[in-house]
Parts: sequence; structure tokens; C-alpha cells
Amino acid sequence: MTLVIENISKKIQQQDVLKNVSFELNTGEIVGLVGRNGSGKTTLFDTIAGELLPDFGRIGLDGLDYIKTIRLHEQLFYVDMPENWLRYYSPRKIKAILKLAYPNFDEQWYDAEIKRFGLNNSKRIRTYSKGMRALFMIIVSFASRAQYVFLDEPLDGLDVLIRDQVKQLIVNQVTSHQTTVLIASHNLVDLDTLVDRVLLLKNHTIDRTFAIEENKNIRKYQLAYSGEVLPTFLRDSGTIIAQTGHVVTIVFNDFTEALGIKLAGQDFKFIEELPIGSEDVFRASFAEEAHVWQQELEGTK
Amino acid sequence: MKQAMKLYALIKKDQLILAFILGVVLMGLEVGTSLWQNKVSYIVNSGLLLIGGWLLVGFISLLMDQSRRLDIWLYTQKISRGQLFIIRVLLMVVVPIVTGFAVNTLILLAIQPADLRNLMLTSANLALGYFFIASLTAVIYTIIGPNWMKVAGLFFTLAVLVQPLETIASLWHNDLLPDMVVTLLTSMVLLSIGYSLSKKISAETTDEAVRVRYLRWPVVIFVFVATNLTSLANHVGQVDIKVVVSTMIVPIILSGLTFFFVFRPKIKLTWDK
Repeated sequence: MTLVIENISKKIQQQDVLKNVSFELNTGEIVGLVGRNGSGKTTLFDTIAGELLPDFGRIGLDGLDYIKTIRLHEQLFYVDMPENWLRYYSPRKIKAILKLAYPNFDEQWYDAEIKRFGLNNSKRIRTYSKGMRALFMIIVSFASRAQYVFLDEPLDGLDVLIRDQVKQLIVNQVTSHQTTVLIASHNLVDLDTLVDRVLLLKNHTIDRTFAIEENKNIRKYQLAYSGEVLPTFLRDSGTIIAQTGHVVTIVFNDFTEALGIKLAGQDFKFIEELPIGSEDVFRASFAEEAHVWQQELEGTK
Repeated sequence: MKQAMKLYALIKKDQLILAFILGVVLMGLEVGTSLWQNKVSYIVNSGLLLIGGWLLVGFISLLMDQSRRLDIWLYTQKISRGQLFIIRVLLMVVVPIVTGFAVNTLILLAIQPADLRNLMLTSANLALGYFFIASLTAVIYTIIGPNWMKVAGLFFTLAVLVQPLETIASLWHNDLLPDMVVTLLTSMVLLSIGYSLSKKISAETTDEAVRVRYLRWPVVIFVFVATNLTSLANHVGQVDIKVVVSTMIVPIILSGLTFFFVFRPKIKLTWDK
């Protein structure tokens, strides 16, 4: 079973937010959705879930139009974060409501997780701390036993220990129920340990889909240059992440053999390739913007 | 549809009960007052008070749906936008009106007044009046975005409609039956409009004054025309050019304000050269 998003476009207040967005979500996958602030991640979630009506495009599930075939809606769970109606109800009342909305709602698992994380069953969700609310949203999402679960910044506000448990919970749920999870997050380090692949939203569309191990073209190096000034080709072909004196950490978006030969030359005293993560791919994807900012910052100094 | 109705009723259970209780309290007060003052015929109003109280809390509850973002979540559920509109009309409008009217009828049958038929007709006419206002409210609720604008829009529309409605009613020579048929048909037309518009509503327009793009100018024009006609209708004496100009001041201000909220023009004030 595959959720197919085809050429979704959406304008809000006459501005393009999504433009021909297309991708697929397969059974049992955990997929990350990354993009800069305001890039349209939440709008994409809202549109797929049915809150927003797309201006153009189609969302298909089981060969049917997901938006128009309302009986399919029990197969997807998504709640807006942080403002949503759940805040005004207690876990007990929410359970009663969701049991009706989602026929496969796993009552036993829900109760067990509420108890395990020490959440108060009769208090309204809005009285919870930010972290507790985030935790509750994850529990309720998976308890729905919907085939597709969309999580918007799910790890936001969680402390490290709870975050680890939640990540484990997500992986366990996906493994045991073959749930498909789409996670939007700015925490790319956490995403790396969780997702099978990442969708990068840039210029209102899915600019690239990548799995870390597949990105042979993107390379990250730490190097020390020998001259007085940074060799200009570095700035032109990569994104400098950090610089301390003559030691530079740099990500190359499109690493070529020619670039490798230059790095092996006399200009450098030391060079080491580092493992890359989603954060590096993200930086590399927005290298031009980062470069412009860097120049602006240098200009203002 | 049945499942959608069950889901909405379950979520709104507490508020629906509260609305019913308020209606019953108002009804009880009316019955008590009537008995205390020995004005038994006033008891017939009690069912109508039940409707009024119920409808009022129902409307507030609908506003809460939007502020709590329940509307938006329901769009993701096994309820189409059109079904949600119908369910709301049934639960928040039809049930209170039918219940209130039934209570009124039972009371009338119990006290057996001399003019039973006329009182029944009056009661039905008032219930239909509620139905008309509720239908109008449903359209306004659908078209207008922010909650405070929904409330302001409702008060404004009711205020400017009083005069024309009285004029239209007088054309029927106060014949109750045709009046009731017209009210019922108009309400049904309004609900049909609300239903078809509700299917076009997307969540991102919640903060927009007019949620349906092609209705922006009609709303501004409606405010101008309705206010102007009301001002002219309220004028006593001969209508000359001076009167016409002076009665345009308020409509221009109100439609200007509406234009400002609907189109949100960006006015840049700057002292920089």
C-alpha cells in the first residue's frame, strides 16, 4: 500500500507555498521531511491530511483519491501542533473519541503507555508540560493504529532520556505494525538515527530525496590550509561549517574528482574525510543562501 | 454519515447537554413566572425560550469549534465538509427547534386555551423565525473567518434585515400561512447556499474576513447597500438630494471598514524622504 502524492500545489494569500510536490510513502517506512523555516512542511502535512484543499494535484491511496474518498481517512493520523483540540480534553475522553474515529484504536496499548510515562489520565492535556504534550501526541498517534502517521516536530520539547525512549517507541511501532511515518523536524541529528530516507523541501517543492548512505556526491572534510588566506576554490565549491584559524570544516554539495585532486595538493597541511549526516546534506543544499549570508556578515564587520 | 454524526455528537456531548440545560432553565423560569403572575397564556412562550437558549449556546459552541481548531481536525476525519455542515444544522438547529416546538405544543394541549389553533400557528411561526435566523447564521458562520467578525456580521445582518423583512411580511397582509411557507423556503435556500459553500472552505482561510474569494466584493457591496437602504428607510420626511448624500455617510464608513478587513490593503506610512 503506497500513499502517492502527485503534483500538489497550494497558494496561500496569493503566494506559492507548495509547487508540484510529488513523492511516495511506502508501507513500513520512516521518512523525514526537512526544509528551512517557512518552507511549507506544515502546509504539506495539512494538505495531505485534508485540512487544506490543494489548488492542484492528487493524493492517491489504494488507487483512490484520498481527499475525496473520506472512508480512507481513518488510515491517516495527523494532529496540528502545537495548537489543537486535544488540549481541551483529558486522555480518558480523547480515548473515547478516537475509539470512534479510528476503528483499530489500540486501547490497551494506549492505557499501558499513558501509565508507563506517568501521564495523568484525567487532567486536560493543556495542563501538561510542553514535553508531556509532545509525548502524549506520539502515544495517541500510534494508538490510532492508522497506517500513516504524520508527526510535526515530534521530539520538540522532550528531554534527552524521554527522546531516546520515544525514538525507540517509534521504531518499535513501525517494526511491529508496519506503520508508515512521515516526520517533519529541524532536529536533523535525531532524524539521522530514525529515518530511512529524507525529503528535502526547497523552493516550494521536493528538491531531493536522499538516504545518507546513498549520498556519494556529498562529502564532508576537515582540513588545514598552509597559506595565509583560505584558497578561493573552497568557498566557491563548498559550504564552510566551521573555521578555527587555518582549520576548516567544509561540506561539498557536488564532490568531483577534480576537487579531490586540488585537496590533495600543496595548499593543505592536513585533510580528513568526516562522516556526513542529514545536517550536512541540509547545509550543502542551502549552500548558496549560506554563502550570501556569510558575505553579508563579513561585509557588515 | 451515521458514524460522522456519532463522532461529532460524542465530541460535543458536554456542550450539547449544557445548551439543553440552559434552554430548560429559561423555560422553567418562564413557566414559573407565568404561573406566579397568573398569566397562563404566557406559558406558551416557554418552549420558544428553550429553543432560544439552546440555539445561543449552540452558536457559542460552534465558535469554540473554530478557536479550538476542532473544525480543522474534523476535515481530516471520515466526515466530508458537507456532512459536517449538515450534522451541525441537525444537532445545533433542527433538534433544538423541533424539541422546543414539541414542548410548546404539549403545553398548549395541556392547558387547552380557547384560541388553541391561533396560538399553535403563532408558535410555529416563531419557531420558523428561529429557523430562519439559524440558517442565516449558518451562512455567515461559513463565509466569515474570524470569530469576532462572525458575531459582528450576524448582528449587522440581523439589524439591516429587520426593516426589509417587516416590509416583505406586510405585503402578505399578515397572513400567517404564506408567511411561514416563505420563511421555510428562504431558510432552506440559505442552508443550501451554506452547504455548497462549506465544501469549498479550506483551513488556511480561518483568519480571512471572507473565506470564499469570489464573495469578497459582494460582501462589501452588501454592507454598503444594506446600510444605505436602512438609513433611507429610517428617514422621516421628504427624500431629497441632501438626504440621499447625508444617509450615505454611515454606509461609506461601514463599507470602507469592511473593505479594509476583507482586502487588507497595505498602507505604508512613512516620514522618510
